[in-house]
Amino acid sequence: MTETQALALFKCLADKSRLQILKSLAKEDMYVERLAERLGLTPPTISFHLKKLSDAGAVRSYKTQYYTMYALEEGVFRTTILDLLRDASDEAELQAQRDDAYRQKVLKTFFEYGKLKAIPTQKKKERIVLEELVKAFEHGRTYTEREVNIILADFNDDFCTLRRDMIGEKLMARDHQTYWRTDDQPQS
Amino acid sequence: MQGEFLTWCEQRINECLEQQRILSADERGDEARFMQIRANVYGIFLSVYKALKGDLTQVRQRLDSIPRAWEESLRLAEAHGDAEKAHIERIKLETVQAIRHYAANLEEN
Repeated sequence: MTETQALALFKCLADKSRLQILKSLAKEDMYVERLAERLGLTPPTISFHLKKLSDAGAVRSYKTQYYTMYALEEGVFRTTILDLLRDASDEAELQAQRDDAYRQKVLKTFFEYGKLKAIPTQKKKERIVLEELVKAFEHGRTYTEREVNIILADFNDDFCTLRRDMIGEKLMARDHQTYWRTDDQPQS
Repeated sequence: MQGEFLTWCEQRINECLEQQRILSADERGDEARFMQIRANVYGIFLSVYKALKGDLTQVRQRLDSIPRAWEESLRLAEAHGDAEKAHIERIKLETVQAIRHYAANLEEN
């Protein structure tokens, strides 16, 4: 388990309702309505908690004839806290995890369901957003300005700023008529 | 009749905040947050009611118009499998439904 995964798990467990769900699942696998009845919570609230537990890797689900059953992900709970403390991930790996966590946080803040809600004012954050946007462009292909605009407009109405900043950040390059990803050579 | 809506909303807000406090003390952070959301929705319509100087007919119109954005947000959240957001939007819409129901009863009587 990585440090990031351990933190996500601990955050998820720091909630009494979720601990009670886990206690119930430690006895036997259960479906949402059964857990709701047992714990005196509504089925939507139980589903909400199960989703969080599932995202943190604490539970898994499987389908039976009538119900979706939930079960403890026992392997996760066999890891001791001492194992986590003795985890010998090297600093470079930890830094990569931290960078990735930061990147995901920025993307989560600025994107909603694939749309860019706003262009970040902070340079570092905007760079992360632009790196994500450039993925919409194919490798080894050139685009007209109109094509670039259309692709970027799918993300945010201010496609002109995005287009200019992608050039400014050297994520894309241009000549008089075409644009391309800078990790490609333009095709003639 | 006018004062009743105001008192009822205030009572619901106090109940929600009391529940929120209890849940929070019981280390049920997410459920406490949901209770705060319910209180906020009651608060929105209490403010609307005050701004419209107690015109319940107009308040009922707002009870239809204001939640439209939440319905759209719920639709998007469900379409993208965003369970947390969907749950929050459902809580807001449930609360609006309770307010609608109360306002309708109040007008009928």
